[in-house]
Amino acid sequence: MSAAPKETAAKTARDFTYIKPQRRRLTEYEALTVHMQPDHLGFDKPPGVIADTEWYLLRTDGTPLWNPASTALKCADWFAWRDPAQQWQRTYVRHQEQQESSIERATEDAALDGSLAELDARWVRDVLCGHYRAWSFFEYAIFRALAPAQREALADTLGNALCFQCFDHLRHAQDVICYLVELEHHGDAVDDAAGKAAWLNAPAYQPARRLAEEIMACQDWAELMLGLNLVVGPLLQQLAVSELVRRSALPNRDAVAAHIVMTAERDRRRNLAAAEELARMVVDASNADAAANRATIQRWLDDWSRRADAAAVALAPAFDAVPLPATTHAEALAKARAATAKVITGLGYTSIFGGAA
Amino acid sequence: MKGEDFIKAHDRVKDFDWQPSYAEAPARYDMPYRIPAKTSDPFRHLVRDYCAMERDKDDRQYGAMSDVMARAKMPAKASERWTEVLKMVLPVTTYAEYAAMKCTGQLVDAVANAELRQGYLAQMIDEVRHVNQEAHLVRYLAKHAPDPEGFTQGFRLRNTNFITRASRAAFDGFFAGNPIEGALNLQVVAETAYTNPIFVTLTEVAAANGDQATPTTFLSVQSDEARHMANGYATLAAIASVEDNLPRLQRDFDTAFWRQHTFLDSFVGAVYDYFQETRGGSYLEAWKEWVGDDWAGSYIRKLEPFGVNLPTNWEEAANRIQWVGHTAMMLFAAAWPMQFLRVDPLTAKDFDWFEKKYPGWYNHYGKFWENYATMTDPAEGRFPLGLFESPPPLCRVCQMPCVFPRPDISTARIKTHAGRKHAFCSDGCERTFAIEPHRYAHNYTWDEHFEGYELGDWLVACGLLRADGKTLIAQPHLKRERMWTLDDARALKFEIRNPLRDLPAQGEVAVLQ
Repeated sequence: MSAAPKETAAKTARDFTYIKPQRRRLTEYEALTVHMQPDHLGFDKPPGVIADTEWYLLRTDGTPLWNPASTALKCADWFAWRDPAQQWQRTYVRHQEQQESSIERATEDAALDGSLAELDARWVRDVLCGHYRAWSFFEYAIFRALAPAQREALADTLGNALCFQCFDHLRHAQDVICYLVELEHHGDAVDDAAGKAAWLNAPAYQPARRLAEEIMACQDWAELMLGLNLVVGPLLQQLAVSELVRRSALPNRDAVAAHIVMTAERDRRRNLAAAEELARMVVDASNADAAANRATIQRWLDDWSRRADAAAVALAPAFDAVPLPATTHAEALAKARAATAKVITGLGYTSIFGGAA
Repeated sequence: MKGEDFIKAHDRVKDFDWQPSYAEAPARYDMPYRIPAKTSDPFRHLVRDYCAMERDKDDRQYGAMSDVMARAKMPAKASERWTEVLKMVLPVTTYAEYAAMKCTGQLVDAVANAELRQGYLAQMIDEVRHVNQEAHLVRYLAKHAPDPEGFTQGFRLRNTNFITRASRAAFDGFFAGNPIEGALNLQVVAETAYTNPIFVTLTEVAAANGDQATPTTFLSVQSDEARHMANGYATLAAIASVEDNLPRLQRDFDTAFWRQHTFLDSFVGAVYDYFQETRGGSYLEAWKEWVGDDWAGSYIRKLEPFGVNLPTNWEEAANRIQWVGHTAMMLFAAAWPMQFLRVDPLTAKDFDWFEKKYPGWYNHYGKFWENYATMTDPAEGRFPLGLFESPPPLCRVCQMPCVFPRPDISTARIKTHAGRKHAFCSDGCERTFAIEPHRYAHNYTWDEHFEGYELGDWLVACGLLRADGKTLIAQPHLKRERMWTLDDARALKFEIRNPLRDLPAQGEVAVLQ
């Protein structure tokens, strides 16, 4: 057994003192996340004589590995961003494992107590297969879009948060499939193929599909993070999943569907908080580009709001198919628009849905 | 979910992609390959199963480290010689994991195949896991190891140390090029060929030297790697199934192998062979088993009927293995004040082991280590690099010193391109450069960055001093008394030079189209 070297034992640090903690003490999340991505302009810039920005290997088109042009927003220190949920892999996977276990248990209990066999065939056929399964393709599109977004993000903290959100959406998409597979044991109303058919062909889903394809085509990782979480989440996912599936699940005696949606809502709240943190950071008064960033974000919010709203408006027929509706499309749309306006104006922007900034 | 239900659910999750009607995503990444619509399925898990599996593994690993090992004060009982090298190994592997995460993001985007995409997503989260696990291990050792200096600063020093800079040059290959080039670097070469010698065999060395924390972490990491190898195999098989892909595939495979070989074999070889105190097998033996027999002899050769051949420079690489680790370690130890760990001299027992495992070792490296042992006391006023007539230049591509495989039979060459002088350590690196010279336009070597610095000033600028502000983090021994200080370093009167400046070029790089 050894002792520490004599000369320095008393003063030697035993933690990563080079990381500036957001609060008083370095958190486990910060220690395991911050400065994992090289910062060629700051933390990793060698003190030598080369003034140029250094890249060991450029991309095939000659651009840098992490490119400031990957977003229209400007920020002198992207690495200052912190995930409000402080998620690192262990906490994130543990959280999702708990959510998935709770869904499995709820499904198993409902199967054993006969609840699944008692579900109204119209609920299963028209809502779960015709609508919720169609919506799983929208979730899948977000997964597709966020994988390259995490690759391009200009800091490790942002990339990791996008990576976790990417995983969230594939989880949501798969949960719909798993539930329908179970329901096949409890009646003959399940038509799994109906969801994809509706997604590809039904007029009610074409604006949503257009938006999904535009999301997959969006190349700006920050625009995706803000547009998805400040607009699509509170407006479209709120309407299509929370209002339509979760709220109507209870009058239609489907506790499992309600439970599945609630786990997605928990993820949505986490991602909303992350996006709000980003929106605040880039317009902070200390940022020299705050005014330009504010104008860019306002433009994005307006644009995403219009496109998401078109998808939300088109979903009226899906509400009409609910056997025992808890709400109407008009009520749900008004509520979702108000929620979106509250998010946007709460950050100091104007919303096309009204509300004072 | 089990049995038929699982198969049904799994079939359905593979049917998520559709042909866009409204907005076609522009190609984000150069993609010179055609991907078939159907491939083998490397990922037979649902997200639900994946989370349960990974949580269980996390609980076991972190639980063991925070419970039994911490209470038993295990890090303090490990061999100090071994623990020292982890100060450098762990920042190196952590960056590899981070680069791997970026690689998989590119693959999800570019590989239009739902089966592969879901496998890549699982790998993406795995790589975040590995980054966190390895950073956690660094922090754990910073808290518990006898000498935390170096553990607390390793991530900060990765761009000022000439070896860790070379690791960046290798692992940037995971995500700098087209996504398939990245997959070849990461999944086919680094993970399939090298993770077994690194995460399995190296852990045996760690355990034999009293370190239980590294095996606990590394074996948990390696438990994910089998899936990543399956991703690599499925990707490779998919690409190779389209005949038009084959010429480009072989070119990218050749450069991927050489890029990883030049760094990994010299670095891992040095770590493996020179930091064991309780001695067991050699890196050469591990390499023959895992890389030679398992990877090349079994995995790659089975692909030959499909048009995928061993890398062009495979035989040259195999011949270099005997020496590259020793050569790298000699340069590393010669420049010991510039490291962020302590390098102790070899003992008589070590000398015997090296000669037995690497016949002829003493003739080439023995004298260096004998001399090294005479220079550990600062009163001697000497360090090995200061006695070199001229240090070797660093390779433009792999950033390693141009002395491989051995100084007396070095394959180094100096060439020019577009009015700029470049050193290359080998045919493989020159050829890699010649294919795409524009990708090295912002690449500088350690010498180019720091030339003109007096050693003491450089140590201060890079933050290579201990908490007292005067003792060097690096030391040429493990003793507690008479450690080298900044004053000792200044007394060496050593100035960093850029040898490339004075070496004559031997012609122009012949650019390959």
